[in-house]
Amino acid sequence: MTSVEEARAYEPPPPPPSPPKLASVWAQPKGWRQLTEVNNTFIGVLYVGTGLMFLVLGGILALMIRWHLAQPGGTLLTAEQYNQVFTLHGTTMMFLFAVPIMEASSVWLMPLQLGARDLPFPRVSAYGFWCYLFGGLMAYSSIFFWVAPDSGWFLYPPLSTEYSPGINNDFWLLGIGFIEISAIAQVVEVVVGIMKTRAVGMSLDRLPIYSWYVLVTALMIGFAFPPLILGDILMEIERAVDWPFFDAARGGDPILWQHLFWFFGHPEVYIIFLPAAGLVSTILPTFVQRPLVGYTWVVLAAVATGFLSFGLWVHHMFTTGLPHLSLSFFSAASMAVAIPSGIQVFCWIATIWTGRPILKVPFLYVLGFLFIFVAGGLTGVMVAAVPFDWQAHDSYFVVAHLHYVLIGGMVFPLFAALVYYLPLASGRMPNETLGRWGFWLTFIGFNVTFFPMHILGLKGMPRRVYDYPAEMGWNELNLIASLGAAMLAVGIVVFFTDLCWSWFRGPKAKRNPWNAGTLEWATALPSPDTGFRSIPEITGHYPIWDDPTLPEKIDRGRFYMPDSPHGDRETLRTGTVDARPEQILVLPKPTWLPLLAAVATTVCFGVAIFKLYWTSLAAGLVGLAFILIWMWRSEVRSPDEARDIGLGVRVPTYSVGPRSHAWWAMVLLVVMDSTAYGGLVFAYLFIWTVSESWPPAGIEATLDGGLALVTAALILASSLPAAFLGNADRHRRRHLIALLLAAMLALGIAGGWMSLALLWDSGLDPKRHAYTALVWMMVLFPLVHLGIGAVMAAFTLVKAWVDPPRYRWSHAARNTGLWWQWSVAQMLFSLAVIVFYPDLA
Amino acid sequence: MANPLAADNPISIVLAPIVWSVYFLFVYVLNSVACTKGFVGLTLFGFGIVPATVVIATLVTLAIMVWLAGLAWSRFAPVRDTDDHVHSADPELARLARRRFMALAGLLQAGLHILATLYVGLPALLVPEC
Repeated sequence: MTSVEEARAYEPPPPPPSPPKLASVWAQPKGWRQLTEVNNTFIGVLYVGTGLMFLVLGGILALMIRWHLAQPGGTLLTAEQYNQVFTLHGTTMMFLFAVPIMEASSVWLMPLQLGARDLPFPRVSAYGFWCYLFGGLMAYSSIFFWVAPDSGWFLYPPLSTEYSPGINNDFWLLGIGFIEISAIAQVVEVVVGIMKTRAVGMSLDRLPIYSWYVLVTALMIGFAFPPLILGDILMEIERAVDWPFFDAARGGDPILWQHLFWFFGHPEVYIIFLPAAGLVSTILPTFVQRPLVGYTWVVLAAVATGFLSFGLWVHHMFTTGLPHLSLSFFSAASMAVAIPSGIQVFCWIATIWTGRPILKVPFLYVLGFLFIFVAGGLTGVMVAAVPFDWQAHDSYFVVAHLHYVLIGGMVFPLFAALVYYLPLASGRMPNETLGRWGFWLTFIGFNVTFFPMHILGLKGMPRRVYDYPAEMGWNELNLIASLGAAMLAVGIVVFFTDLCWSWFRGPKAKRNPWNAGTLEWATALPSPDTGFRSIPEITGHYPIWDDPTLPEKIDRGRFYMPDSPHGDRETLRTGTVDARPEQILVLPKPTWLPLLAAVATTVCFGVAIFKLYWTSLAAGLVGLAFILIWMWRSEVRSPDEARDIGLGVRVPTYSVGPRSHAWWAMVLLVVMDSTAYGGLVFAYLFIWTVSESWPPAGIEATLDGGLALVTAALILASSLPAAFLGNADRHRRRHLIALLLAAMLALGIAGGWMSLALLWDSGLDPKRHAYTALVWMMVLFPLVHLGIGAVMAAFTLVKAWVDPPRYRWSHAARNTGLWWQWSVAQMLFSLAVIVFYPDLA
Repeated sequence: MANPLAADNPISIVLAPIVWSVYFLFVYVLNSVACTKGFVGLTLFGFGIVPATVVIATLVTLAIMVWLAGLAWSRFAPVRDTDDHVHSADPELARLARRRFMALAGLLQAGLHILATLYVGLPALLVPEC
């Protein structure tokens, strides 16, 4: 018998009850207090549910579009309403459904798959989720008042600026911008979680394949979203206070927005696709009952896609008049990215080929994914060819292509995963008959809807039109597409009916009902709040297939941390490469703070849409206060410095510096932030390339080099005390820390003040020209960073001074130092660029 | 600072893509600036400055990639038959499998990005700059 068959034959005995302390510390609060829960099992389910709600809301908008276009002369919507509906459809599907639900899936699933009790920053997950829910509802609600964004999901200026003076696009910029920030929060959570909170023995080469995909995706979000957030800020500033970054009449350039947007927008496709491919790579082996073929090759493909996909952004801009050779670079990269995609597809086919397929509903969705995604990938290679793209650009061919890639590449795997993981979340099995009906209706409905759009595009039908003349020959195909959309909708309704009915009424699932090999199926069903009774030690990629008795051993507390002796929520931190036990991480208990901070953040962004800036500022300060309370209650002191975690292993309960999860989180944040700053420098240089002279003709005012030098000297001096923070902390000299922070603050405030004086003194009016606006931004951007650093420094100063008995402050001190030095580096670079570059150029 | 070339450093897996990213950004910025600032007419060794520089950059990048591939191969060859040890409970054997994984991943990345570099560099010989 193979180990897979042994696993199928083995039925673990019912799990014994968890020790009372362990069970009670992880138990969810009841009633209203349940909203204070920060554990991934609770937040993850809400998160996925919210994502599905937005799928339905975005889908309703899609049906409105297809209803309206079913025949020429559609009367369901006016032109203005149609613009809002198609814009909000794209925006909802991309920003409120696709990206968040993939993050949600990882928040829910990854701790179980990694063998952790929770991810390292549960409050960040909870805050990110609440921000997403409130921000998403805020952005979507605009359609109920017909003030939704109306310039396309990519918000191209000048349509979105000069020609859209209403508040419509502010809903996009502030509502979606705010959700992007919550996406960044999840990046920190997920990356540090994968790196630091794995089961013992789960070395990098044994990392579950889904985690590899999620790791790559999270890092991609970290690099792709910040430039878009920067673009959002620039556009909102242009709309609110008239700084002309994208206004061609005053030296700006709309193409700059397209660069910033598509630098995010193309990787976005892979940000959506890769975690879905990770789900496929996880589910597929279960339904062919054999390991994935080519694990290392698939990891290679995921990592390579992460990099290559950043070389694709201009392929959305082939018709903007960029130089020919530049287009060829991007065309080449667009074709190169087909190689890792092909590697994955061949590995999946090989896995099916060499296995024994079991045609259950999740596997049907996987097969549907393979069929549709390959078709979408092939049309992707077609539009990667510049000459073809020039013909197909802005036509329905592109609409067909993107839906084949996104629905095929993401929604089908997601549906597969929803059915597959239903027993793990609810303890009940899905209904096979309803599931099959749902699949076939969805699969056929999808193809009937979107395949005709290829032909419509080739016959010349442009995108984003709310009507078309009857004599163009597009009528039948549009009608077929609309009928297909109705069928697709019925399929999705059947799918959700199955999901909801089975969640409550489905037959009880037996343990590991699909006979999967991955670790998440080692828990009891539904997965308990504690996750694992004891944190296992694993060997191989499929721990249950490697050792069918593993679930029983975990249940009986044979591994690490089988109890919670101090009544704390805890998980194990392990080594990045080899996953040896390194530290007990004390995790936060349920708290209102993430929810309250998210409410305040929502008000802060929400009222800004209506230009109530003082109210916005007040709400922002309230949110900040909640976050500071949250930070005060971080770094819990454990009663013991080190503890026996079982199997004769003793690990510390606290660590600082590069070994700690907090250091990793801050470094990650700085790296992500650097791409936003990089985007700003790019914007400055881009405007230089499109200007005849630099500074542009007619701008006589100059920056005072002497004043800039004094500013730089003060800012640089402030980084010296910051550099010593870690060292002083190592010796627990809290008074020295307070002194260093005070010196840093004083020098920083003086330097910041001088940088403002430099701008005032220059006489550069930021409303006059894109150049002057960018000079201001080059200073203001690092200045805001220094301001954030100043808040962190003041907070750390107080915490170190008070030295609360229950909490430490070392992470706060070191992370403040890191952030401050990064902000100083930005400011020095900015000053060098704005003062010296005009002479160099 | 850990050595990024060390066999057990995960960064070694992504060195080739990082090199490719720098190369890609360089050739793109070069051509954009050459076209917008009008120095596209300059020559280098008798060739247009852009194609000549792109060819040089491509060759340098390829040389680095080949070196990275060689480094990965030298690490992969001694442990190429240790794939099954990924399931081993023996830490020493498991370490061999890990070393194999890291080396193979580095090797495959280098190979793929050699192709990607050729893809990006070749149009410089065929397509006009602006």
